[in-house]
Amino acid sequence: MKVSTVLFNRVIARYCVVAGLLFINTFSLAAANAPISFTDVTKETGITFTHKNGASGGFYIIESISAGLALFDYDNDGDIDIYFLNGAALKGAKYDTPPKNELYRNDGNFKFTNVTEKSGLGDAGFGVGVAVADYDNDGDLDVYVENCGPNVLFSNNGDGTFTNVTKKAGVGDGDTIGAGACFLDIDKDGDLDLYASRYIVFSYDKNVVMIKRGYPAFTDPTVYVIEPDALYRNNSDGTFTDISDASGISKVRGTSMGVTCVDYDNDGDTDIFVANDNMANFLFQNDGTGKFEEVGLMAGVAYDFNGKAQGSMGVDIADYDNDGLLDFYVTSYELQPATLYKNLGDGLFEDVTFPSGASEGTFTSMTWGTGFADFDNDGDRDIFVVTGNLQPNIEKYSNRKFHTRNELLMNTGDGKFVNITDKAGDGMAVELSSRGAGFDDLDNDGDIDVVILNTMREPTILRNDSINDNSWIQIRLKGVKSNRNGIGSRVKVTAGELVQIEEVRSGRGYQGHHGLRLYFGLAKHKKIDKIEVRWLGGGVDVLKDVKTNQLITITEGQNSEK
Amino acid sequence: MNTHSNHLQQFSQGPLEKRLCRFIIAFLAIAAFCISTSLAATEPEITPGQQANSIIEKQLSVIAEEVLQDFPQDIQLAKFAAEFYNQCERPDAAVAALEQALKYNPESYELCNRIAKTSFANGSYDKAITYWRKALAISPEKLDLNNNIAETYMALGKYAEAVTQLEKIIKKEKGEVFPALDYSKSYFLLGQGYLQLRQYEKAKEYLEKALVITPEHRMGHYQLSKTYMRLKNPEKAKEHMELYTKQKAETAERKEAWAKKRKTAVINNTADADRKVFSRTLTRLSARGSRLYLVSGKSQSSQELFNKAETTFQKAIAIDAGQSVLYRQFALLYVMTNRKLDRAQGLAKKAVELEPSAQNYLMLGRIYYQNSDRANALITIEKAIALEPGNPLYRRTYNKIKKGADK
Repeated sequence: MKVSTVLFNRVIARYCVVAGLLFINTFSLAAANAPISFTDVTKETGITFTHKNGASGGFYIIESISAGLALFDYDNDGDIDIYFLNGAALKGAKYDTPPKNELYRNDGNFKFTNVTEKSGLGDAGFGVGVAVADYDNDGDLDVYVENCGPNVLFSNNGDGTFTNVTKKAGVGDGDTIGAGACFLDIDKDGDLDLYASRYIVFSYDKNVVMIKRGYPAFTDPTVYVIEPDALYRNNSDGTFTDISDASGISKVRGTSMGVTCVDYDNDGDTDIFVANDNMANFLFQNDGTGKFEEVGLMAGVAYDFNGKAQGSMGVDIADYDNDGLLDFYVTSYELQPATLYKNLGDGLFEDVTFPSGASEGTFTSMTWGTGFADFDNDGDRDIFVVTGNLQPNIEKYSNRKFHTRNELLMNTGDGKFVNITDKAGDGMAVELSSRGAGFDDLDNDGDIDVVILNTMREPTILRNDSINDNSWIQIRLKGVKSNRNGIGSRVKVTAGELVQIEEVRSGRGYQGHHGLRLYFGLAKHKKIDKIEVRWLGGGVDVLKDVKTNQLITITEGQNSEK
Repeated sequence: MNTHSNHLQQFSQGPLEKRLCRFIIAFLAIAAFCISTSLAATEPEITPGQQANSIIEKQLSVIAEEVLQDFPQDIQLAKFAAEFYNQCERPDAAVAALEQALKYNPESYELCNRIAKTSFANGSYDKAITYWRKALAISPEKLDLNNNIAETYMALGKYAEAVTQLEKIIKKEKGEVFPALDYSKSYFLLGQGYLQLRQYEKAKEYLEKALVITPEHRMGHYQLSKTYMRLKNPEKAKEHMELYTKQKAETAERKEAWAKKRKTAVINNTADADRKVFSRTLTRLSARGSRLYLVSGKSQSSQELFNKAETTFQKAIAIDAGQSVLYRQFALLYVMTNRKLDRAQGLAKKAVELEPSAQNYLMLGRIYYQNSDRANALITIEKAIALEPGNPLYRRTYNKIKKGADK
């Protein structure tokens, strides 16, 4: 072989090696970054809230379930504020400063100011669940807090302050152990009624503690007495009437946790889904007049595909596969997957958890707050699941951890999900024991950020730093004949082939509230062909050729379909 | 065998008597705790019974680690250790112990099956399938493994694979009285698989077959009800859902009645149950471990590996202090090598104390003799002869010593 040929081969080989290394490097970078990325900005936000669960060593079961949170614009200034629920001292516990719920005003750019005292929202009850809506149709958002003990309804005075109107409204719900709550218009009369769920019947002397290999542990809620949830009809005069019996709600009783309300059967009224802990979930089908029948078993959402009751915690609902039907995602206990129920139409659901990949990473952890949200604005909804063990001392008797990381499942657009937690930024590396979670655009930049309530710790605030040039639209509804927030109304957004639906809801996830503004990722579409609003009262508004990348308000009747 | 045993060294350090004392004290403490559990506790403070569990668990943990290190090839040991790890909710450790044993016993059906079961229970479905397939390759006659594999495919959402797995196997049904396969389960799984594949007629066919074999198959009714719903036959759906609900209610009633019976001591019952389980595991693990140490110690003795044999016997006694044979064999090691005869005497005495058998008396007599205490040697061997008068060895030994004494 000639010397020149050998040299040439060496040069070629060297180039190949360099090219190979470059390829590997590029590939590694691609693998390291996912289309969705979250940054943990908690420390920069000025939020000083720390959750207290009231524990005194008694292992009272209610310690483990606190709490949800709410994301809403309390002062109507156009940005989303944060309301954290807090526990309270249980028997034997003492705090120098009694814990209370805290409200943080969004000052923009991820800076928040504690306005609890001024707002009057610093309820000192043992908070567990919350729902937000304009129940009195006066143009501002009111807050209903579910406590372990009497619940509280705060009416927004319109000036950044709230007044406790529970007594007048008649929605204190007695000395019950609350869970999730929802405002919904059960009878389409234009005002919002209230669903208040109840977990178990609790008293200190009847608390049951399980012992796991020598260590105390919270036990299964089904060993307690269980009572039915409550439904209150809005009398349109600031008062409510308990219609739990008349509506059919009290016919069944469960260990309620997360609750949310949508029109799952597309019949024009709002139905109710209740996630029950270690019992069959409930699906209350509305007959259109505010009377309900529990159909969870027949619909296929009571149990998982094996027919087993899960320790259901939170629930969110969205059309994940853009087929025009709303699907349910329910979080659950450890060694159970969070479950995706696909809506087949005709009132039936199919558990598609495993073939869809929607449970990837959720089996070993306990899962709580959850939300369907299009974090990368690519036109399909991803799933965020927060996790954390129930037992604070689990590490003493098991190799599982109390603090666990949350999970992010990216929708691949073909009805499947892929877990991208490892590659989705430092925000996903946080390990705490999370409970409630809210999803909204905190900095009004067109993507959805995340707020997480962690039990016994500071919250986690995740800024969405995903890089893409996808379009989006945010829609706020303003009801006129319907309730003011358009709760229960269905919005359909069409951009080319991409058709998405969403419904306005009050109360969702794990005993929390977020998302009165609806979000639609639009992928590469630069224009929306049509936005159709089907108001709960029956009217339809249609907007055509709408620009993307903006927040719009659609007022009922202003774009009526002729 | 690993002679650098960190954990057990704590037990093994110092004179044997001291170590034994520690063990006796520990066991007495556990017993005291157990007795006091009868005092019902209403507060969640850890009761003495639960503390006892904790002590046993820690002890078990040390023993399991040590014996697994020393005898990684032993199937029984791996099984007992895995049971313990599963009881402690440490499935990874359970699988690791079993996999380690499998390296030495690659044809063990049982190990494969256990790894698969543990993996399945903890959501490691791919691993479960891999090991159930291995188990099936080793023991093709275990047809029920097909059900397990199919069930695991279902859990992975691979319904077509599940159905394929079962379709092959159910063709072999011949209506045997005692079939090797739980056909009811196979048909149920097939029905469930076809339901997920949206082949509703086939789902109905197989679920009905399952219910013919096992009419009380609750989940069969549940899945069949769902199938009828999909087939737009709400009446039949309702019928099966009612059967499901009825059977479920009956089960719930039984459960409630059971719970009511035990309502008075929820906490202590749990502790008692835990303790029973741990005690059983401790017994099994200790017995198996000490036996292995004994065999190993004997082998080392015969190879004149004195130091190794000494450590091995110490370990054997550390994990199973109640077996006289361990003390006797340990004493024999000293006797054979003519070392530490004072300790040998103590060991032989302990053996006799635990079990006054002819063999143990003989050993003690022999050591007395080696320690030039012929009087006690004769008295002791007489006891052996009394227990086994027909044994010529005892008589010969006695006579030899006596002759020497008379001289």
